[in-house]
Amino acid sequence: MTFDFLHFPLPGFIEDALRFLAADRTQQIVSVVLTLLVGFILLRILMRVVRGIIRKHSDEHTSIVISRILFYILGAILLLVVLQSIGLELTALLGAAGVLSLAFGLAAQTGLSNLISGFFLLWERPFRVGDLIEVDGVVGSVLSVDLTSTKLRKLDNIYVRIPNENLVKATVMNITRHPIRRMDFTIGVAYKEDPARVIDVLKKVAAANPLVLDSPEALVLFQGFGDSAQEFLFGVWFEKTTFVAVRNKVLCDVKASFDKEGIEIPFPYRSLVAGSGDPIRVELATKATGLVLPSTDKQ
Amino acid sequence: MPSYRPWDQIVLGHHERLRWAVRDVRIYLQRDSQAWWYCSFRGEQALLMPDVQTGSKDDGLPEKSDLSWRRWAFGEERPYAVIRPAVPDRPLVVRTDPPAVVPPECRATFYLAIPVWAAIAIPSPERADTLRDLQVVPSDELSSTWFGDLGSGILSYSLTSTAQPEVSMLPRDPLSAVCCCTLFNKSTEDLPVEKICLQASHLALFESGGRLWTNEAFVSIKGGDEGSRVRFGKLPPRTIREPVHLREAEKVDDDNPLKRSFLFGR
Repeated sequence: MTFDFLHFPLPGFIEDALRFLAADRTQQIVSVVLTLLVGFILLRILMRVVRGIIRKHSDEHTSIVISRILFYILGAILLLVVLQSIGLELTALLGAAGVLSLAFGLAAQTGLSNLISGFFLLWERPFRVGDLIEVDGVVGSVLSVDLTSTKLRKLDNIYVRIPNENLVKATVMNITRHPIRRMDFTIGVAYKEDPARVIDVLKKVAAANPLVLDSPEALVLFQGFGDSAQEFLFGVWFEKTTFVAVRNKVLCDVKASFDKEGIEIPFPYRSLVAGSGDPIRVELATKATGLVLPSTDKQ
Repeated sequence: MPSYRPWDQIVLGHHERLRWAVRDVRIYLQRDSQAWWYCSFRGEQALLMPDVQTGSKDDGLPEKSDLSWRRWAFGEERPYAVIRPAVPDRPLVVRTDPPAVVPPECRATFYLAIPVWAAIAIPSPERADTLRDLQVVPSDELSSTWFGDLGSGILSYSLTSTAQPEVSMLPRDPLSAVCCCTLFNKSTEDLPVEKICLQASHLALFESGGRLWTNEAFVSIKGGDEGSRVRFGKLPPRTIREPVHLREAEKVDDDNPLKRSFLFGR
């Protein structure tokens, strides 16, 4: 069959495709569909097997990376084989693919950028599936690292999709990369308290908590004189999975120890000054001072 | 009501209860026709002598409002359950107090008190002659620590007891096993030893003369980048007479015998 009625020359592979479609090749079409279907199913099975094998010897992230790369390569080969089997000239197709990819690339710049960024992420591995990360103020655990985007689950179970390009450009903080972390507390005590005693009490709080690591030692740093309190930085090391328990226990223990030792945790004091004169005098309203508030009792 | 030693294997009949009390650890295990029940708690008073008794299910329980039972529904498939000793699930860091120095080409032996936990075990579904732990009850609340540098260290338990040069210096405790650890300094420099990190998963447990022992550990340090070589023997020291094997080590052979982190001097 010829396509002279079109009055312009067609690229070779399009002519091949049209000729293929024009001819009565039901059997061949069925064969192509079946090949693609069976090939795709076999590929999926192969991916599962490969992932299972790799996961036994390595981590989840590596298994995802290798199986996906393998999937795309084998998928492309399968497609080429099928196209060749129906008589499409692959050299012409590949030649046209260059021109098409340029046009497609310009049109899908963002998508391709995300795709390439995805490969960077998979290769560089700044985080893995299951890690808790912070990106641009979003904190969540990594659900999957796909080719164009990374999916997170925030701590309140909100699903977040972040384009890979953003991740490559942004500063990513991997909170759970290392098995242990330090948790910092800023603790203020009244100016009347002896700072050496406060340091001693805080060290005892750290030592008494079994969830707080003995080594590295807890950090107690006298940070300076705040508006209303002497300020201390109290940093305790802990195993990353015990975050909530450590935070609650340490704060409760600090409060209990300070109460027991009579160390005051102050609240801010404010002096009100009107104009340039003396501060406004404030007195308790009692009978002794002669200042008695109007009674609110219902007689 | 018959009495037993702590690690005796006791077969409970239907509707029978085992009361296992060693030091301040209390475990109750009872059997119904379709399930095994268990609860544990830490007693207020430490027992000087271990006390293991069996009795009927109606025997009095302590009056504790927070006593909660767990149930394993096995039916008739698991004919018995035992309470057996177990080692903690992480490496153990022991200090030498005062810090010791091992000169070049010299050996030093340290005795360590390894905490022993109580594990409730049943016959393994795969092999009836082996046991599988269902629940491990810690005998002490061990403090966590990090051994090594921040990048490549290991999460461990820190022991309050210290490594001693003689076994007689360790307290006799029914929930503690003695581990004999020999260091051989093969380097040309003094080896300062402040802490020893012991891979608990390589420790087997034995009983001899009413005391628990682990298999021996041997460490040779070549110094420099060659690190240290660790080898775990199969038995306690030879001086221990007729050791009764209580529990296999979780890991027998180390994948990488060269462990830089085993010893942490300075």
